[in-house]
Amino acid sequence: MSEEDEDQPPPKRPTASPPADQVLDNVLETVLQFLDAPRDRSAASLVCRSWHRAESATRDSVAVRNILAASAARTARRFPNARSLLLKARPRFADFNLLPPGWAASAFRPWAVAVASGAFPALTALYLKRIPVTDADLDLLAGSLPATFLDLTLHLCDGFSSHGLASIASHCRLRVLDVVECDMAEEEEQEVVDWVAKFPPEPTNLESLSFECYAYLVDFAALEALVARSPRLSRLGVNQHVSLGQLRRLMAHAPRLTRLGTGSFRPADGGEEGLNFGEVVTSFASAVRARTLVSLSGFRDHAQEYLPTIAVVCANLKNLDLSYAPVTPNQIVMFIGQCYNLETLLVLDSVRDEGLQTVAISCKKLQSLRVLPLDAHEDAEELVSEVGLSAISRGCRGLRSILYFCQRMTNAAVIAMSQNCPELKVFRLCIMGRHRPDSVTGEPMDEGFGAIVRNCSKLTRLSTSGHLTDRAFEYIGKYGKSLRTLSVAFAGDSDLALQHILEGCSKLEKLEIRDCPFGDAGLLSGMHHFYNMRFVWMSGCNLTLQGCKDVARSLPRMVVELVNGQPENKRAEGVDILYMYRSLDGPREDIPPFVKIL
Amino acid sequence: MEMDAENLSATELRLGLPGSSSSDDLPKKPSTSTSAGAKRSLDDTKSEASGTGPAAVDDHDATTPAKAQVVGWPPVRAYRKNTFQAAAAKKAEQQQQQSQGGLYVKVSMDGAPYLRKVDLRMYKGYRELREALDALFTKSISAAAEAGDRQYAVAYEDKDGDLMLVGDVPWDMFISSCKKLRIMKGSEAR
Repeated sequence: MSEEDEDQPPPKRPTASPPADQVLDNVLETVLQFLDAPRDRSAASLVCRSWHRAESATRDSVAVRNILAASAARTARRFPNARSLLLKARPRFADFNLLPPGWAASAFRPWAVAVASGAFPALTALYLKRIPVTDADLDLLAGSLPATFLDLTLHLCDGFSSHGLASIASHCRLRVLDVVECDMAEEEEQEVVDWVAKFPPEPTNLESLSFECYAYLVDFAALEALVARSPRLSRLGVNQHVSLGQLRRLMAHAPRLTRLGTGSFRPADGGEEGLNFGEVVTSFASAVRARTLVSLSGFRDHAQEYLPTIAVVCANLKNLDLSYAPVTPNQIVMFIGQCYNLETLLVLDSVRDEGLQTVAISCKKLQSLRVLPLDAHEDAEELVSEVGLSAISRGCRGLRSILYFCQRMTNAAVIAMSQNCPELKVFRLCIMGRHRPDSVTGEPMDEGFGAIVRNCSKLTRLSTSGHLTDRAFEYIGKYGKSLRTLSVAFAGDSDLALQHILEGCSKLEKLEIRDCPFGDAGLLSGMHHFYNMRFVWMSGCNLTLQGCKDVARSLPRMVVELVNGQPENKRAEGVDILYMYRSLDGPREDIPPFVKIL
Repeated sequence: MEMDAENLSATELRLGLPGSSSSDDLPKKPSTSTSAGAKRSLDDTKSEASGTGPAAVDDHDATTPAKAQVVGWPPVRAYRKNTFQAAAAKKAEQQQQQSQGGLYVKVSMDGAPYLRKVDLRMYKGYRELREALDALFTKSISAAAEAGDRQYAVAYEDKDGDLMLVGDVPWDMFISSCKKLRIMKGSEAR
């Protein structure tokens, strides 16, 4: 995770600058062009005024990780030569319906206007994450993006519809159009526009086209024709309305795919031709011969009998996303044995501990694992447990990132993982039942999480769950020195826990807390650190208006938002959601009625 | 009397999934009653696992009063939650209509040399059943008609072993309780 752009005021200098400065600037710019890492660039920009100038002029990739914190105008002034813009708006907890809709409804509009008015003349790529984007915004962009514009990625965005996509498709010579996990606006069936048909009729430069989350049917003839006239296409992700037979035809037109989202992976209702097992295997076998396919996803409604056809490509796979496919242990064993090069795996807990054991045996190079719940409820059936986690930790020693949903867990298993997987940078454990202790000993999960922060020195992101006392946070504060992101839910006994976190985790940038017994005293213990943080989210805690006002008063550059998470209920006292973030441009103006800015 | 019938139906061993027979009979924790079978087929597992989902959401007051559903917990995006709930509901519906092996019951007719079997799930109502029986036993019926016995009644044997007249109870209830069908000649049916 990199720093957000920090616009510290440069030190004051006398106005007359000797000509030598210009030479210096040119030299600096030439040298700084080679600096890629965002942290390095941030550091360079803080050296002095000329370094600041040179760095700003040469920065290619600009990331504004909270668009409420820095305006489009300011960003354009500072980074006029930006070629790629990454913008994010909502905090992550908004994904779980904790923020009412409309919280930042028009946040993107000023950016669309800025881009449309040529504020970023060199812009080639736009990556929007968790931002509400309307069709009007997309229309505006489509009509006025520079001719150099190539890549548009919409990730976890919402508010737009097929009409917006149609605008973009028809006006821009796109290289990348990725619509990922977006919650698009609902449309009447007859209103839906076939945006795939809107791509210009001549051969395209498309390298990546992804619409796995698109809810409606796409005209297959148009899609097939588009793929056929896109010779550079290497990444294709289709939605669940594309059948297996249709997928085979698309694959035939795009022999050099590196990433494939397979759609439904099931024959169309009513049967399809050319779908005996061997024929499907043949399609994948051609992909193998090209040696390019390294990433598979989709399987949105897969027919069990066809799943083993992917075995033939498994040896090349680095990424496999089965997170929409309820695969059983018996099914996964049919192909996972070939996946010895796999680095990223997403599965549902339907694979059970036995399935995870086969993963642990086969996927020795695994770096990132996500085990997601088929039935995301607190009282869902136990499908995976500490057995699966232990197996993974023994088999996949190079693991760097894990997200594990389960119903039962033990300290022993977590401790074992901390010892077996020293490379861990991300550890996110979600024991779905709230306040669940160690399922064998009945103790809180303090020791497990303590071991993680103690033994995994590279840990930058941690999500906790289960029954945790203040002791767990004592460990986190004491040992979590590289922690940048911490998520805590239904844990802790008192303000002491929050104090441990804020006083101990010196590199903390993002703090998400929900439903913990933390109050003003805990919050105020972090005053020395809040300016170094990207944001703090605290919901369902014991904060009071007074405490939040104290923070707002002492930290004038923090925007302190108090949000009423359930606007339909009148909240008499107490703070529902506190969301605060540093900002260069002061509080935003478009505040919905359920938000109060102190 | 009604209470007894309900209790009996709750304890009865059946092939159906929880909730597939009649919607009133959703047990409080379907997962515990069926989690004994470790090596189940996938469809069963998925329907059970997801079956608690809709049940929990709809009847959370009735099922587990201690744990009302909390907003945003577990932290899974709504799209993902809805994908599996929708799929599970669809599968459950499909399985209600399809058979898991069919619900075949013997049909006997007095005077017919051999019995037949029909799949009760193939029919949507009594009229279709009657037409099917007509078709199956057409020879025997016409033979009986010639002998002067035009009318016949269809009766069924329920799980208690009692002979009941077909047509009194709603179709779904009939399917779940019918064990055998018997076509009786008009003279006997009085």
